[in-house]
Amino acid sequence: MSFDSSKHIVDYGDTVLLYIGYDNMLPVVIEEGKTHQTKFGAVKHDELVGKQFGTRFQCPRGWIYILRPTPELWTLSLPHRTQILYTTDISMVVFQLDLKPGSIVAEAGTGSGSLSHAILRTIAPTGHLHTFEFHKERSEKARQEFHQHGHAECVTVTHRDVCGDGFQLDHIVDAVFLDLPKPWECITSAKKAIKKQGGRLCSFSPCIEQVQRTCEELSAQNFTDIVTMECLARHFNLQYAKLQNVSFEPNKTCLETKASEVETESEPPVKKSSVISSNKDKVGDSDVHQFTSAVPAINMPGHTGFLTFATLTYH
Amino acid sequence: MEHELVKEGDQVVFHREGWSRVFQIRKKRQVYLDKTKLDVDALIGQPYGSTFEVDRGKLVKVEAAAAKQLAIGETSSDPGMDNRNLLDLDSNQRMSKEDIMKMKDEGATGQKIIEELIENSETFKMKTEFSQAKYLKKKKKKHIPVFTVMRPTPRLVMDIFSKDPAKICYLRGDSLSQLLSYSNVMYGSRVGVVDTCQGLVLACLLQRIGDAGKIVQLIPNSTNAVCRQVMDYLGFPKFLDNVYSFPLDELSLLNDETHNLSPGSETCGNTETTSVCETSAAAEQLEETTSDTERSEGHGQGSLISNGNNGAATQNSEEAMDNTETLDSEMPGEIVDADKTDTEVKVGEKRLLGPNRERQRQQREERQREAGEIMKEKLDSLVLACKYNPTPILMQMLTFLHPSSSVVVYCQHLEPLVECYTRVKENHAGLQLKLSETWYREYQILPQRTHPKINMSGTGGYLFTFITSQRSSD
Repeated sequence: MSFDSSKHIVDYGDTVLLYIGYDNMLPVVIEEGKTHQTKFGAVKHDELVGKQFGTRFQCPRGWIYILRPTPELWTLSLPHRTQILYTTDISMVVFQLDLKPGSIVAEAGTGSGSLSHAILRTIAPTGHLHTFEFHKERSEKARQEFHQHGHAECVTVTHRDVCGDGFQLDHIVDAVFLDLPKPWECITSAKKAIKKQGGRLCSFSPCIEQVQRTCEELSAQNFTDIVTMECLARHFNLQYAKLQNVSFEPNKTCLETKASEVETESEPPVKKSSVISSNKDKVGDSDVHQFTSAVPAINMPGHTGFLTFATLTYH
Repeated sequence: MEHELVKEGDQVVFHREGWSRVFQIRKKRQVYLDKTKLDVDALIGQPYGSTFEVDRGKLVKVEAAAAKQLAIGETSSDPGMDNRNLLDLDSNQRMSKEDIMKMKDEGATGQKIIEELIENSETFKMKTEFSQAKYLKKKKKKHIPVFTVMRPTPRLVMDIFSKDPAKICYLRGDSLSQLLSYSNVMYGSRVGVVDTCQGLVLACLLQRIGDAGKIVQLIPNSTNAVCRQVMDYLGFPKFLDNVYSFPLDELSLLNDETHNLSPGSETCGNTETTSVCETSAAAEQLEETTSDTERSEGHGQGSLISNGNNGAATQNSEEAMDNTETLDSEMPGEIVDADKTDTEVKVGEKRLLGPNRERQRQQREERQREAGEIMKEKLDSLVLACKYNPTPILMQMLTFLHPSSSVVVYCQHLEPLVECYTRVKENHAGLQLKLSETWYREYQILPQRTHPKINMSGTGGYLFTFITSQRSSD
């Protein structure tokens, strides 16, 4: 039960994340006698057992932290077998599909299981995820991971091409998620999977042509409240920025005009205030305007996919 | 059973695209919808998912096929080519506002009014097919009020605030969804939360912890009533065993205990603490926070509305009622009007409370003591989504979190989160620090007319998230 937030001590068989640095985590299954190589040197699994999640661990050449996996951290560290969904889209899917403990969900395809983990966290322990993947090895790998992560009871992994063969579920799910090349071909089967009381559907597609056809089909099949959206996370880095002040008094020694100077840092860490004061001493307080600035990333992912949501109700 | 039916006492969402209202279904209850008075009796026994039209003050069920017809604008057979001959003249529409009002008074249906409008329009026939569809859609929205009856979910309930997002601190669906993800709250979680979003965040978290988890809602001080209106909307009962409140001005007391006294000590039941918290610098910071709060609440965002939703809040309702009534009057009228009956009920409760005050005070102290115990055993997640300055609250609360716990701070402004970030970093209190906002856009998807929606939201607030780590002092 590695993902269970009530678990605090590392044990054999647990999946843990070795936190090396920002956005850099190694997923490791703790096994007796095993050793793991990190850039800070070897980590002996036996030494991790009994430690509390969140503790700092001394490696030969630096510190690492042992973290309990969460679906969000897992998304950042999981072994990629396919293109994956990230937390911004995943959050929207889980929220817009009205998921809560007890919900029953159908997902196609499973892919690398990035979304599946977030769904499972939300619907456990009484809900169920029926997930479908047309690639045999991927579906087996996903099944192993879900078992490893303590989700065995809540998930059924099926190796099947939903596009050709359908979900084969008879009005048992609250929500359907489609991440398929031709989602419009699966709407009939999705509709049959959704409970007679009604439910929600989501389709994720990178291309607008896919969205167009999907929406036409949803409308033809009497889905309502069809909404298509896009959401992107904009991350900020914290920087100490300095801007040169210009003097308006005549005959003052003209200061070298420098372009705005920014101290960029890798993890957006904030430098100690002593660094600033030493700079201040050099130029004098009034000549430089200093401030902490939240700077958006210069480059960011501009597109992941369109999310289309729809409601099915029977009157 | 294939269909769930609307029962008396249910909280029901009246929903149409991007718009929701929630009403509790009671016999003989009248509600206002678009300034029309309605009896909601007719909904009892109807299946959820049914669509209704408001026809001259009555609810008329719309069958599935007809509902679809209403949603899609059917167009006339012979549309114009383009708009080269269209002139922008007042005389284009021969019907005046008075004519329409007269028709309505005479009891004409919305459909009839629209037919007349088209009949009397000089330009309708010359418009292009797409333009006609758009015109029809607009007129239908105005003259044929149609809505679907749904069970409340956080997604639908959020739409209630679409006209007045200040009430939920400008929290947008995408921000709320990420807040819920990054908090890692799941069935059985133990969560600390500060919520001045009408209980929206609290209610969402409560839904996710199920009946096994525990939530401690942190409130500025014990005389403060908290608004948990959204809990009502989502059909949660007035009192829940696993939801506690704990006043922030008594945190330092818990801290002292953790450091100086043996665990499990009973002394934290004491609620007469005003003198105690003045001793530490931290408490002073908190007092600043509180006064900030009072100032911002003075602006009439209505955050102090006491619904008497749980033990603690009910006790306070008498003290809070004085504040509440003035604030109520400053609230945008819509919801207040509709819920007038609720207010009356509340006043009734208040009178009943009098004789039981001593017993209830003891009960509250006991609950607060339990909340303290939960926090001392440490929490799995912390969520702040409030109008208070988050940094002092966050720094105080870090002691009550396990290492490897998830923390989310939502704020409508960026600057306070910059401060949070800096402090957490300086104290080496967390890993994987992320400060972000979300860009969110909706699309119109129609044959030949697909494009981003003309209007989009400019901000959905900011999120600061991190994972707690073992602190160097530990």
